[in-house]
Amino acid sequence: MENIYRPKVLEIIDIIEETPDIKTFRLGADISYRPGQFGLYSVFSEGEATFCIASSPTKKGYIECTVKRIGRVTDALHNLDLGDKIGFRGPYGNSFPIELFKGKNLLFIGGGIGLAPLRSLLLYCLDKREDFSEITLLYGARSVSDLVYKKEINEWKEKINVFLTVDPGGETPDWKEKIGFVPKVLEELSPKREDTFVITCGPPIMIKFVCSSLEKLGFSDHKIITTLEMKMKCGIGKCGRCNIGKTYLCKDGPVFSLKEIKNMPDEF
Amino acid sequence: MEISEIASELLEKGEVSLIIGYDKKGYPCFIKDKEETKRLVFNEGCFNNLSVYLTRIKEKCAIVAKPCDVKSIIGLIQENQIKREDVVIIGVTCPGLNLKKCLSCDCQNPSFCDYTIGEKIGEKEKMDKFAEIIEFEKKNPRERWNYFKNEFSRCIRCYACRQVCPLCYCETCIVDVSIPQWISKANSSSSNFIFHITRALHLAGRCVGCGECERVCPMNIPLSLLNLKIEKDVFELFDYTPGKDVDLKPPFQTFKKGDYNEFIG
Amino acid sequence: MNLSDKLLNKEKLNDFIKALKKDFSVLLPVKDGNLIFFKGLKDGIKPCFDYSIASSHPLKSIFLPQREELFRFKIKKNEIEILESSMNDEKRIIIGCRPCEAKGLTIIDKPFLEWQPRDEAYLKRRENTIIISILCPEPEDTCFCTSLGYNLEDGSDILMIELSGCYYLEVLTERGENLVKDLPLAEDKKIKEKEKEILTSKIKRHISINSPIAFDNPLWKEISQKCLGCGICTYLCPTCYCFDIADEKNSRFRCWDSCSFSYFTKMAAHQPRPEQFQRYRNRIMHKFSYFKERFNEFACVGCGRCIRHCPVSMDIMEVIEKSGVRSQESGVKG
Repeated sequence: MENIYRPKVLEIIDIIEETPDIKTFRLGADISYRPGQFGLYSVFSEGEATFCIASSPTKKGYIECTVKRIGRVTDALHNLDLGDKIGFRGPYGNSFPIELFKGKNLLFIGGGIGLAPLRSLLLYCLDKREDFSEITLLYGARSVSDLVYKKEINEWKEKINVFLTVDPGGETPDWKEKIGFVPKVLEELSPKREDTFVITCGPPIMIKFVCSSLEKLGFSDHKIITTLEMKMKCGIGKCGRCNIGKTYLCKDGPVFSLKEIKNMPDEF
Repeated sequence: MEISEIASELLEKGEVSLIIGYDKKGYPCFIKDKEETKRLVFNEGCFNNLSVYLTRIKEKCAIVAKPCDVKSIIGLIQENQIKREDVVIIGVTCPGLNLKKCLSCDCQNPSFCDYTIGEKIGEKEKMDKFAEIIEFEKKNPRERWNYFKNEFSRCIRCYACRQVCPLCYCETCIVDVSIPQWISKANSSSSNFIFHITRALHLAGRCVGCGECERVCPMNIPLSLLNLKIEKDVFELFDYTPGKDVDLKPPFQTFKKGDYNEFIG
Repeated sequence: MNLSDKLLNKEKLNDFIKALKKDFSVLLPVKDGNLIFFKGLKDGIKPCFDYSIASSHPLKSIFLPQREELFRFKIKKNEIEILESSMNDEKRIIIGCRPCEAKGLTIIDKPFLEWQPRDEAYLKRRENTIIISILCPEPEDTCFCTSLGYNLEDGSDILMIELSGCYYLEVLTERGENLVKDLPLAEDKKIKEKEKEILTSKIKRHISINSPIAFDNPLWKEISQKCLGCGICTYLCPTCYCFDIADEKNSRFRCWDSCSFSYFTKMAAHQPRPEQFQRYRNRIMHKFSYFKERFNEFACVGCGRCIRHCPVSMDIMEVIEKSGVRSQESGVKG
C-alpha cells in the first residue's frame, strides 16, 4: 500500500539568508516539476507547511524554497543547518502555462516573498531566454531589507528589465531605485500590453490592487496570471480547507488567470 | 408587560438596536425589527443561556435572561467584558425548566435587571446543590481520576462546551495555540483530559453553573460535576459564589489576608 | 452474478452473527446510556437495532478515524528514518447501521477515491468492510433523507428490513451475496418496497433543493448570527471529511478538523474567512453547491444530527430554504 502522506527525506545542501526573517533552502533532490507547482515541506516532530518551489526545473539535482519565519514549522525550518534533513511531498498543483508564453513579452510583478513562485518561472525563462520576447520584472517590498534574492536580481538585470521599489518610508539613504507601492509604480511605468502576459504574486491585497491597475492599463483578464495561497494541509484535494468556492487551490490551482479568479467568490 | 412590548419599545426609542431573545420554539433569536418582536416569548423550552452572545455582539442590545443567566452577565461585567450600560436586561421569572440544575435552583426571581417579566415566584423547597459533589467526594482519588478519564475518553473535541460558555471568551484558546503546542489537536485520552481540566480550572471562581456545557455535549460528558466541585472548593476556600454580586472582586482578581496559601512554599 | 434476496429468521440472528465472526470482526450498534456506539461483538454485549436516535458517532469514524497515525519516524542526529504504521487490515462487517450512513460513505469516496491520488488507507478500510444496514424502524423528527434524492440502498452491501419474525435481506452486492448464500430465498419481493414506502412516508420534513445557493445573499449573515462556531455539526456529520495533519514527538497523524473553527483557514498573515458567517456559509455551500458542482450530488444525507445536536438550534433545512430559494425570488445575484 502506498502511503500518500509519506514524504521524501531531503538534505539541506545550501541556505541563503535573504532578509532578517526569510531564508532560501536548497534541498538535494531529483524531482521533476513545473514552474508554479508547490510542495509540503516538513520538519519532523514540528509539522508540515506549504511553499511553492522557487527554483527552476532547468537546474537538476535540487529544489529550492524560500521561507519566511512566521509560524511553528517555519520557525523550526529556520533553525536547521546544512546537512539537516527535512521532509518533502510533491510536487502538487498545476503550473504556469509556459506554452502560452512562448514568443511573448512577459511582465513579472512581485511583492515581498511573493517573488518566490515567480522566481521559478523567471529562472526557467532566463535559461530558455530565446523562447521569449522582452522580459520585465517589477518587484517591491515593504523596505529595502525586505527585498529577497537581491544578489540574483543584479545578475538578472543583464538579461531583463528590472524595476525595484520599496514602500514609502522603507527606503535607505543610498536607495537609488523607486519608492512607492507596487500598483502605483506599475501605473507610472505603463508597460506595453501588446503580446504581453503578466505574471504576478504577492500578498492578496497587493494582487487585488495590481490586477485593477492592470485593467486600467488595458490588459485583458486572460493575460493576467497569478498564483494564490490558502492554508493547505494535504495538498491533494482531501483535507478540505483550501477552497475558494468550488475551486480547490491544491487541485485546480495554485495558478489562475484573472479571468478565472473573477468567477470565484471573493473569499481569499 | 410582555417581553415583546418592552422589546418593541426599546427598538422604537432607539435605546438598543438588537434584542436577543427566544422564539416560540424556545430557540435563540435575534430581532432588529420592531414588527418582529411578536416572536419573542419565554417558555419552558428556553434552555439557552443567551449571555454567550454578549461578548460577540458589537452593538447595544437588550437580552432576555433567566435569573440564572443573569449570573453570567454579572460575571462578564465584573471581568470588564461588557459594560452594564451597554446591555438592557429583560429578566424573566422562571419556574424551572426540565433540567437537572433547576432542582437546586436558588434564583427563580431575577434581580439586577432593567425589566422583570412574570409573577414573583414564592420560595420552594430545593435540593442541596452540592449534594451530588459531596457524594462524589467520597470516592478515593484513583476512583475519581478513573471516572473522569473514562468520561473524557468519549470527548470528540468539538469544543461545543467552550463555545457555548459565556465566560469562555478568550480570543485564542489554549488548544488552538501551536507555539508552543500545549495540548494536542487530536483527541486522545491524555489530551482530552488536559483540555477539560484546563477548561474547568480556568473557570474556577467564574463558572456560574449555568450548565450549558453539559447540556450541549453530544457525548453526555458530566461537565457540571467537575464545575460544581470547583465551585464548592472556591466557596469553601474563599467564601465566594460567582455571579452574585457585581461589586465584589472575583477571588482570583484580588487578595485577602487569610487566603488559603498552603501551596506557596 | 445473480443477486437474490434472502430471509433470516430472528431466532437465527445470533447464529448468523456468530458464523460471521469466524472470518470477520463484527461491529454492531450497542447502547451505552443514552448513547449508541458501534462496537466489536463480545460476549455479553447486546446489539441494539431498534435505536430511536442516530448512533453517537457517524459511521465515517470507522473509516476515517478521528485520530489516525500516518507514519512514525526516528530522528537520530541528522538522519530521519520513516517507519510505516502498521494498519489494522482485518476484514470487518458492520451490521445495523442506518442506510443514510452507508450513503454518506459513498460521498466521502468521491474526493478520497475518485480524486487522484487515492487515499490508500481509507480505500483499504472501505474494501475490507462489508456493510449491512438496517431500514430504520422509525425515523427521527429531524430526519430528511428523502429530500436528498438518493436511493436507500446506496452504499450498503445488504439492506436488512425487519419483518415480524424475520429479517428480509435485500442483497445489493456480490460480497453481500457471499455472506448469505445458505439462507432461504425471499419469495415475496414486494414486501421490501412496501416497507421502504412505509418508512419514507413517515418522514415529515422535506425540502426541494433545486436552485443554486447564492454566495452573495445578504441573508447569510442573518441566518448564521446564532452560530457559535463549535464543531458539532461537522464532527457528527456522516459526510464532513475535513482533516488536519500535525506532528507529535515521533509520529505524524491526521485528525478531524472543522470549517466552523476560526483557525481552520487562518494563516500567519492572512485569514480568508475571518467571520463566522463566512465559515458557516462555506459549510452549507460546500454541501449543497460546491460539492454538487464537482461531483453531481449533495454532500448531505439528511440524517438530521446537525439539527438535533446544534447548541443553538440552527436548522439546516431552514437555512437551505432561506439561502437558496428566497434569494432567487428577491433577485439577489447568485
